[in-house]
Amino acid sequence: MPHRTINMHGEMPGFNPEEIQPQPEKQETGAEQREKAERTAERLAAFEHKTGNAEAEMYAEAEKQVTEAILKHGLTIQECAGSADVRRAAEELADIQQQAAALGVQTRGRISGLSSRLRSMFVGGMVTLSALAGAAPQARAAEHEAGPAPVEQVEARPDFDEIKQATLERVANDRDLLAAVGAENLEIIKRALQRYDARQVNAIAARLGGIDPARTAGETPVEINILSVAGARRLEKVDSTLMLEGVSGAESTDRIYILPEKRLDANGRLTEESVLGTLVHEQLHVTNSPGVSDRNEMYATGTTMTIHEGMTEMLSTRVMKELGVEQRIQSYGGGTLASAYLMERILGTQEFTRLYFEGDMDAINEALTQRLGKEGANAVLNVRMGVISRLLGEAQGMSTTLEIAQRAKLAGVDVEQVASEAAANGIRERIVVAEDANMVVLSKESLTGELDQDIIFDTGVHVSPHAFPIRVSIDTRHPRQGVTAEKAARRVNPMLARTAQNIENEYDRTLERTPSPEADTFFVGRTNAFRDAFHHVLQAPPEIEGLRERYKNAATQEEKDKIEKEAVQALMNAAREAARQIELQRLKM
Amino acid sequence: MPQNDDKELDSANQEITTFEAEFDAAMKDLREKQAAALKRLDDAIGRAKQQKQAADAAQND
Repeated sequence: MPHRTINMHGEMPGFNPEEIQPQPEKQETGAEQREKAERTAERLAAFEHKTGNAEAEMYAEAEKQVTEAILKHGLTIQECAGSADVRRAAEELADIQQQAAALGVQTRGRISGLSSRLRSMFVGGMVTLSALAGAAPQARAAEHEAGPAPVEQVEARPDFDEIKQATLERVANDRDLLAAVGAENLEIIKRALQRYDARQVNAIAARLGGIDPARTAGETPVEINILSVAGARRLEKVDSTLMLEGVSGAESTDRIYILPEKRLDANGRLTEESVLGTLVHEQLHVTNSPGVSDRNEMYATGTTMTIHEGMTEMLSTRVMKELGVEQRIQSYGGGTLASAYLMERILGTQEFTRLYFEGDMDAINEALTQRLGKEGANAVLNVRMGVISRLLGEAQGMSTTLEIAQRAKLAGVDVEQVASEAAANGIRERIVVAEDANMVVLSKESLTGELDQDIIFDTGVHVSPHAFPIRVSIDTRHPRQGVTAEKAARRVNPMLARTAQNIENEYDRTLERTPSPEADTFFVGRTNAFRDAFHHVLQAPPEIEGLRERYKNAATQEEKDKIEKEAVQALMNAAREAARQIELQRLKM
Repeated sequence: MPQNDDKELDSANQEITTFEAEFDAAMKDLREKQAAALKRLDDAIGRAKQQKQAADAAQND
């Protein structure tokens, strides 16, 4: 067909006839076509990046605002979690995040389909479509474009001995603290404080990390506050630490706040090692702080909190060993410490410690990438544990452990063996990795002598080809609100039989789904979508309650070990049964 | 590149535009829902604080 060309240039100022004029059908050159294909691939990569960013931004914004709201009202996270009203609102937020996550997965599925089509067009290497090949790493890399947090100018710190002496005097005269812990415990606190030497901790840490001792030497606290809970409440500044850590923490960069009251055992006793362990943990935050100056941001991103707190406790364990102190209790259960332990074993203590002091997620990402591959590092670092999920008692810490275990296994690490050696490596939490690294069970004794356990099991079941895989988890510390164990026991089988269908329906309805109390009751827990998996939180099986009771009353360690093994087995059986029921349901569909 | 592939590229670009518009609209909706939910959570925390203050006051009495 002949093309008519009308020259309109100059006839209508500001009007570009090129935009509407029919153009001759020209055969594009090879170079132009390649360029067009590359541009398309780049658009897809940018779009994929955008989906991840949009989801992450929403999440970070919610975490920030919830954190600020809790701070503003001066409550602790536990006090907030105790309010049914707050939990309902947090459930609603979690549900919206789930919808955002599902939207991201659905959209990335579409992008993946388009990418496949593009690739199939260019089989034979006409174009490499480099943007497609690099889409996922680019997305991750872009998150770190801003680079590490700026290093703060550290002013000369006051003399550590003077700071410590001032703290000892305050502790000796603190009537609130005396009333809260008693005279005997107060003496234990003073002894622990006398043993604590920030310079010694820093020197040991530098040696462990093979880093220049000058890097850590000056990082001593400007204040050490050892307070009663009542005393801490009067300090506005300490609220964020109390709320987010629940026990103690280093506020900002150089002030330590310790609440020994929270470390009393079932008999109301403190131990010197427990107080010293907390001081060492917080000291490591102080030493590390130039790289993590904004704690709120750290918590808002979630990822950093899981990894960072776990690394801190892990390194604290190593330093305590060097100090010749065996820790009976370590902080951060629920997967945080176990994740750090597995990371430390994969990276080696020296590199792990060095990375900790670099305080830079880029460096951690790179080191993990070398061991676990890019996809593996992304999977591990993408797991989140934010304030909203803490309000709801969810299991992202366990997800991190599972991701590390699975990715380490894929990278050829004998992760089952590494886990079984945890006790020999100074970890008090028992870590069991089973089912070819698809199941992780953690057990630890709490300060009050309770057996606390978590299990997460990647069932490997996709209810439909486009649905997320299903992970089942149980946390024996947190019976689900409003659903008793007895009710759960009666309902567990029919519930599971219908779970698969419900998850499928939920996925299909994901964009228009509204939360309902009935749905939550029906699930006997919650099902959450976090990026790449459904997390189905189950009630602990009924026998767990009896086992916990027996454990608490057991007279010997041998007996406790035996009961713990039984409880591990009971949890594994429950998770396997859940997987079996879900798989059966899938086969019927 | 064959003409068909060229059309396929145009079609892919059109689909990206459509998917992106749908994604943007859905995210906008979710952001609005989240803002409303955050407000409700803030209110709920405020009520929790009032309840706590009332409970503390009762205990002190």
